[in-house]
Amino acid sequence: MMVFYFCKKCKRKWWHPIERCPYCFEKLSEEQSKDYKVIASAKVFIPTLLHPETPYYVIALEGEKGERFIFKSKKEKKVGQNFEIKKRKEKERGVAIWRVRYNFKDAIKKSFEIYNLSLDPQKKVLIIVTLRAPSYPHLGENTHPKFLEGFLEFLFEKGFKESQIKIASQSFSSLPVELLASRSQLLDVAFKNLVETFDLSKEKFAKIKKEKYIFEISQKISEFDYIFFLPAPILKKGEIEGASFSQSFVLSQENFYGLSYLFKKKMKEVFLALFQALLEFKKKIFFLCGQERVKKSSGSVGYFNLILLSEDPLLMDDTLFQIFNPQKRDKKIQTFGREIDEVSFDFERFGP
Amino acid sequence: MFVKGVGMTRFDFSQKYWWELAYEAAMEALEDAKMNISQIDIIIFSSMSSTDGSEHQTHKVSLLAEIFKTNVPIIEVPAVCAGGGVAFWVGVNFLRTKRYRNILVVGAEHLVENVSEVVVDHILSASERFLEQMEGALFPVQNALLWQRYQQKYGATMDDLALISYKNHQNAVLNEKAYFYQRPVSLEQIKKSPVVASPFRLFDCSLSVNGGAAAIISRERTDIKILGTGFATDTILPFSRKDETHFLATKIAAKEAYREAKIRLSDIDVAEIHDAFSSVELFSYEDLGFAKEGEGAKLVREGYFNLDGKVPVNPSGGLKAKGHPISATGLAQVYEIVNQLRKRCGKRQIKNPKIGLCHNIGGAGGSVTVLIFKKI
Repeated sequence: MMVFYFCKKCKRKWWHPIERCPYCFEKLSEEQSKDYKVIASAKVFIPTLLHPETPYYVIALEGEKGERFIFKSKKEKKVGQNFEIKKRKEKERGVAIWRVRYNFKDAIKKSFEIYNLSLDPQKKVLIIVTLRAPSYPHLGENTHPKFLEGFLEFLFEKGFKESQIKIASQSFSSLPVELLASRSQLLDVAFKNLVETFDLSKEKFAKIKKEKYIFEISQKISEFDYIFFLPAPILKKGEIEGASFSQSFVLSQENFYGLSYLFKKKMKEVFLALFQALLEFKKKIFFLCGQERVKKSSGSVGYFNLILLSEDPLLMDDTLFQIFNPQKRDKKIQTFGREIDEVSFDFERFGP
Repeated sequence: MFVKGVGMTRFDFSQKYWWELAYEAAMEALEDAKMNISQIDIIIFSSMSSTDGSEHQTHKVSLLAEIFKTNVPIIEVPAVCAGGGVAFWVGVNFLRTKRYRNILVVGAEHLVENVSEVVVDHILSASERFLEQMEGALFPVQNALLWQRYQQKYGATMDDLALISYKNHQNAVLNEKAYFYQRPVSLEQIKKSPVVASPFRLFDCSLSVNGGAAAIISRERTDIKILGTGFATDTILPFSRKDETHFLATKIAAKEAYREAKIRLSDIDVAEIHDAFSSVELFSYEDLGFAKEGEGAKLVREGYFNLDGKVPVNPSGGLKAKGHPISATGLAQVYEIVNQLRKRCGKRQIKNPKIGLCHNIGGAGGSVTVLIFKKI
């Protein structure tokens, strides 16, 4: 459930991802238990900014390798009970949620496990990153470089070669995409990992009609087996611009502007139609969200550090909305791994 | 090394600024030492509040330089709830260099200045961000879990903890600077108070308040000798420790202080123990050596730590009932012990104490100091 770092020489354990043991200078290995038992459990009645909804439970767990840690739960667990994480069953609709504990790769790996998703390392992967502005990562407007790097590390660990992966996006402003990619530090990640990038606006677009909307979608996506959108959600008054919006980067610039102008108040409907249009390419499409910080409607940024994985961008946005707005929980959403109640807090009110 | 003077504000919900609290405590300490600020060679200061709140002040040392109109070095030593004890320990080590003669050690907090959700969240910043804060492991929660582990191992009860709280409340009623001064609380009230993090009830937890405390330490001889000091740290994650039912840092700090003091445990007449939670006072009896592991509760039931017991613990009312203004707490313990040794404690004065001990913890056993004083 949780990776710890272990020095094989002196047997010390760490939860923080440090590279080498400061005693032995040995490279630490990543370890984790398979089975966990509840060793203590407290029902909590004190609301705080991070945990406004009470009561909740905090349990202490012990793995069979002896590591102990604490875990928030909305459900009561008895001491001595085995503890298991809820995983997605095949074809179940929902969103996997997991916390990032310093290590993005580990959290991404866990979200795939929870979502019950295995990838064929012989296939080709297209990663579409969100690039809104030429801004630095701490401002939360673009896909976070640590998250992209963690995802690449995960793919390499799964057996994918650099040549099977491409990273793409485009600029919807007059500024060159290179500037956005460079300032967001995403280009550095691609270079460092020897993964090729390309500008989707330079490719050919296919016209696809869905409902009453006409989409101009990059034909390039048909060359890949897996398409991963890496949204960078931002909060706007009463809504989230997140996974659904991240699909826009496969559209031609004119098409994106046209749709945004003509259907400004119906963008949710437009994104749903776009999602259905994308499915016609018969590719496996996933939305993987893992920002370190998220921009608030006030303009400042706040702590996030969750990984969300789903095949449904609209459901992912609804999930994000509920995470950030504990008081607006009108719809029941199926989640795996963590429940919304466990990770939700009043994001706008909480400090960075 | 010696203590010249001590000072302390009343612990309450006073809305004085942090520097006013520091000033008030320091002025009392200076008066007690019969000194003025020009005789102070260096100031060691501790605080964790006022960076986020309405005062939004991080350059506190310079603000203190303005208040005291001084140019001496002022060092800020933040160590959360152990801030006062660690500041004192740092001060003692500065004296050891023989470069400085008189040192003012002061801690002050204006912590309670918002709704409970915000204050608790601020205190929570003393725990690990991703592994504890995000999992809802507030300090009452962490300590409730540790207490359950202790119960599983040794079989003590919540009634034992209630007796500890009750003892401290009874003492605080007699302390005019304690929040619960002249506000008696019955054992029944303690046992029936609302559950905050099961099995902990409200009265198993200390009270967050505002306040300041100070001490002037010196190489010049006085009637209070600093016999021994110890300071140790441990992982911020209590469940990552080999034995989570006891605080190893307390054991190490105590061993160091006892060794330096060249005393036996039986020489200690009075102690101020860090009762952030009543369970922590119980573990600490054992970690400090007053009881064998698992036998602390037996001594509680026998009244061993009561005001009229063999070793009175927390005659001031402790963090529980005097109040816990985070970084001022360690120095408030020094204030009580020095005044006990000087027989200035009125109705809560214990009989003829010669040696006293202060035990101050930061986080859930992450930083611990033990200080030992002797009346000469």
